[in-house]
Amino acid sequence: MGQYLLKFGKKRNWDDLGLAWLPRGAIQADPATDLRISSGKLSVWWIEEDRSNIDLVILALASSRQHLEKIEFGLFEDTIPGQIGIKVAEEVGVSPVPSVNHYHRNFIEMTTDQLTTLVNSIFFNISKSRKLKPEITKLLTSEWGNKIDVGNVKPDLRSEIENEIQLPG
Amino acid sequence: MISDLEPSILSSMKLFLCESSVTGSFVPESLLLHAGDWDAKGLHLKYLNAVENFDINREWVEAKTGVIVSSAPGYSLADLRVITDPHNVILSSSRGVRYVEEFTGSTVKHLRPTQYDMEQSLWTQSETVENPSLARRLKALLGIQLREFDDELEGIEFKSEFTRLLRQGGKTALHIIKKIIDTESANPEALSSALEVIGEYSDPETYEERFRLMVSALKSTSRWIRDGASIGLAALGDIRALEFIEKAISAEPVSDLKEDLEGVLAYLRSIG
Repeated sequence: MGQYLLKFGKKRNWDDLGLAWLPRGAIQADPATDLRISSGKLSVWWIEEDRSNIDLVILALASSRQHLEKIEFGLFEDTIPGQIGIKVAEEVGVSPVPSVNHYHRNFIEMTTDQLTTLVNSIFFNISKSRKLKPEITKLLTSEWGNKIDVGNVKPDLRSEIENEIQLPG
Repeated sequence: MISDLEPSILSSMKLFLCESSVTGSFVPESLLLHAGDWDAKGLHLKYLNAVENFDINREWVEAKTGVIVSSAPGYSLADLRVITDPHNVILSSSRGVRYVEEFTGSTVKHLRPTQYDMEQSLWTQSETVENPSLARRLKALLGIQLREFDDELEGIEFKSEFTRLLRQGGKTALHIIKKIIDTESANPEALSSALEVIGEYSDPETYEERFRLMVSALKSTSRWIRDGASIGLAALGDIRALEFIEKAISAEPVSDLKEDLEGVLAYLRSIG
């Protein structure tokens, strides 16, 4: 059994605030607005049970962006989509880290009902994490030209990382 | 509940507490405003002519001289349960506290200076350089509604424009931003992103001002702003921030944010 990694837009949207106006067991709508679904698809990454590929997946996410930026994400059990009727498709990712792209998945044909059910199912148990920008910078510079296919990195990010490599610290 | 306040005041959006104009032996040295969980009840301190000194659980706040409390839409000032002196003696409108429903900027200025004001004098003295145009542009940028921040490209455009204004305005821009934070007159999500940029911005001339601004913002009533300040301090990589992050962790009521602050603390310790 593995987990799915879901990249957050803003981690603060996933805060458990226990707001007084919420009915018992209800969740504020903010996390639902944080999920980016396009054409009924939600992009996630599958993480091995021993989490041996998680650093590579984070590398893939960080190297796919336009600029150096912190990465915020959550992990939840991979059995949940099946339990709530969400279809999962193994669609190879297009990140600049070729060795990890086969871990990419899409939740497909998603409806608004499924979106709500998904948020309700994962909100209280999702394991939330953040990698700060300096940590991402260190990760990217250490794998630059190794695991990262530099030719597939967006120009602005490429320029920023190359500056970091030339001016360490 | 505040038992002996007029109903009209309880339903007011703002409450002004003043001990400086009250005479007699009942005048307390400071006021403790008890509300339970301030964040969960939508209560905010709007003007800090006061020492913002939350207790460890953020259930009460100590205020000296005067403070304005506001409630967010959908909340009521009735959630401000009780006001006491430092010895937990309950105060009322006839004993040590004056409530003013309507107030103006000049009312606030007539309050006597407090230690807080003196600590802030570095900021106010430096603010003699007026730049209304810069203030207007910063307020417009930081006041936008930020659903678009979920879009990476829009976020990049915001950061690019904010960096440009920061470069153009230098210390004056930072003073304006501090005012915006103190008066909560902008979108907290925008301010959070702005604080991240302020931490990443490379400019030795404004280093100390940026450091102090972020340390100050760790005490914001907004979890978004507290978060942005901590991320900015991580980006700055100044280990002097350690003690302030530790204090922020102790005071943080949102458990998810507390974990993120601990992440910043661990990062700063790793580079220290």
